[in-house]
Amino acid sequence: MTTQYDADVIVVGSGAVGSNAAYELLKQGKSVIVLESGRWIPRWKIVENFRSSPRKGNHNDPYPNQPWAPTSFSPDYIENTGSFKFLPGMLRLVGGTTWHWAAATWRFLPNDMKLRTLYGVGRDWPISYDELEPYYGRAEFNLGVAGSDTQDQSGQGGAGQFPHRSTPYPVPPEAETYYFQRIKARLAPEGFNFIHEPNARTNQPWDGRPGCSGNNNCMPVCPIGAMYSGDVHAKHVVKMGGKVIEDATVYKLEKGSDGKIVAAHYRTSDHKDIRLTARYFIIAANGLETPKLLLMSDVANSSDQVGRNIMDHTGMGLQFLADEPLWPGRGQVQQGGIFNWRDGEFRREHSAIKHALTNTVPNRAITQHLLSQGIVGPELDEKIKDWAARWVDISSVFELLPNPENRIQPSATRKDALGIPTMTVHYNTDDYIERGAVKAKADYAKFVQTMGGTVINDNTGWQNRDHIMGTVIMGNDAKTSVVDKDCRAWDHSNLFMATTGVIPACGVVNPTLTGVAFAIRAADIIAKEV
Amino acid sequence: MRFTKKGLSRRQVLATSLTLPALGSLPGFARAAGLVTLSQFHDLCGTLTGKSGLNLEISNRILTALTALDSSFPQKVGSLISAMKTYGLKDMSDFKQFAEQNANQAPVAMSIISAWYLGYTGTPLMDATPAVGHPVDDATFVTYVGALMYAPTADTTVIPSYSRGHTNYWVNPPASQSAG
Repeated sequence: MTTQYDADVIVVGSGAVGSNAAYELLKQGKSVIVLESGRWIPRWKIVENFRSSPRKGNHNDPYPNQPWAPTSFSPDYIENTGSFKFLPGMLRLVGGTTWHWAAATWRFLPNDMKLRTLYGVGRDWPISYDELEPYYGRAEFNLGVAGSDTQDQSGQGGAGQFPHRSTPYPVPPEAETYYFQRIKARLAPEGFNFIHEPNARTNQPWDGRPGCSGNNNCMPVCPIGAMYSGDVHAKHVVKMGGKVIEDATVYKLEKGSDGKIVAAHYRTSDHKDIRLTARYFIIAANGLETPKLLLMSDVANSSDQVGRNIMDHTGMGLQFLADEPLWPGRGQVQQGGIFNWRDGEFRREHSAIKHALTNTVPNRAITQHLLSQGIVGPELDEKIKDWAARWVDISSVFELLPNPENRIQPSATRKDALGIPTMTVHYNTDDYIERGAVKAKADYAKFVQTMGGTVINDNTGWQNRDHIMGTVIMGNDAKTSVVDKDCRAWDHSNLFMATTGVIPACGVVNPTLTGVAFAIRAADIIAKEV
Repeated sequence: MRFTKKGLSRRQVLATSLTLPALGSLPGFARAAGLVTLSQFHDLCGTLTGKSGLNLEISNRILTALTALDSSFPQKVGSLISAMKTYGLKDMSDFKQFAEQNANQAPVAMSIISAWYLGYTGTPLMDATPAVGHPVDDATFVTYVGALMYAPTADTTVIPSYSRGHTNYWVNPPASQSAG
């Protein structure tokens, strides 16, 4: 008797990573159902929510936050038990959290993938840059990435393209902002290597998206859709005959007698429970919800590594006033930065570091600061104008090492409105990034000095960066990792993870492009087997 | 108070001699400071921000939002107006000295100025965890494009989410500044 399935493949999660996996499977003729806990929301509603919100610095605020599909900022959704308040801004809607990101789409370096071998710390990736390279190219094409084909992205000041590419960036880099040009002109002679940030914010028409026109609102929402978000491919999935089921929170993966996964169970907001079957399952529910679902289902965890090794690019920041007008806030919210500490022998001793130049319109931060000092009247207007011209905002990230004690677990005591456990996170920073922080602060002093600056804040403390890695860690050994280099669960041959959570050494670059590249690669493998 | 699509006109306000909704229930305040009309509050906003031609609807939103936060706000407004009159504060360049001599009234003035500049009242929370010493998110939206913090840079940067440029316009400094 032939077994009947609801689909060849079920994808849990409709974000950038899951939607790209579904899209690639549909291209290869497979039937796909995508299950999404949130709903479809049109862009204009999110833009209006943003414009009429009193909390414009809260990037989750314009997005739906339902008791049956809570965002990570829903009160008590994430209970922290460690010394650091780990609280990334994760969303629940079709398209996922790439609705609010700054669309940084870097490739990791070959050396990032050999951290243990080269520098004796952390873990190696079980896959080489060369193996992943073609999939990086396909991911960049899907997202319409704008980038430079001629820069040494390792930040070591090399003369030409690095790492090597088999295909050019699909979109050329946008023009440098005046702000970026001036800071580079003054700091580069001091030995700081500036790199353009490849980004999925197209500057020419691409896949139905317009070119960026500098609305300066990548976070929390691009009002014109120039910046890529996962709903682009969720829409493609529907057009190609795939199914995206909204209001479908998966709470259980069902194991069969042969060790394979046989069904996904989801619950709707009106508490209907539905069971769907498929030949293969891809879990693409972000770096926190994915391990939570595995742990709730008691699957894929023979290594006891599910949910462990959380790595964010825990960071810090610097704000100062330069001695010349730089006019930040014109163009996109970020464009690159300083990468001297991206790679080198120093990684034996301390974390890699990225210093990114933030280019947001600074009026709100400045005005809040001035009002707190009691400045009013004509002086207030004058100072807003003057400071807004000279404001420099640096956002730094650090490479945390995988630590099994840093972990996410389903809450033992709390549940959401569907009766599904919320989550508990235990997260501590480590000496590796503390030693990196010493180097970063020395850089900060040099930036300020060289720019003739006046410090506003150079001691922010550790901050969330919302780059979740390590939680379904990839490796060569089933005893110490959750998935193999294909993103396949060691314990279940038809279960794959499509999330940045697979990344085993986090470098300093934003991980989403790598998550998409791995997802495309996994889709190719699944398509051959289904 | 609800606005029609056209909103309140100054003429309507004056014609109806509108009083603060919360004020009617505060006879003590009425005795102490007399009836404060929206028109008077609007004039106060003009003095505190140093601007003429402020949007009356925004004044009304601020008044409503700050009264919702603190039911004694209208009384405090009355006291502030009296104190400013006594001091003779007409130019905000003198505000620092006024604030030093009127410690109780200055925070009321700052709450009004803050609402006009930032476009909201109260304290917004940036994430799920209450701010230290401020456990409740009591923020209320007042205005976005009307927030006065954007006016000083109107010729150089956009109000985020709006665009007046085109791709790559950002390669140059603002046209209004480049000549200098």
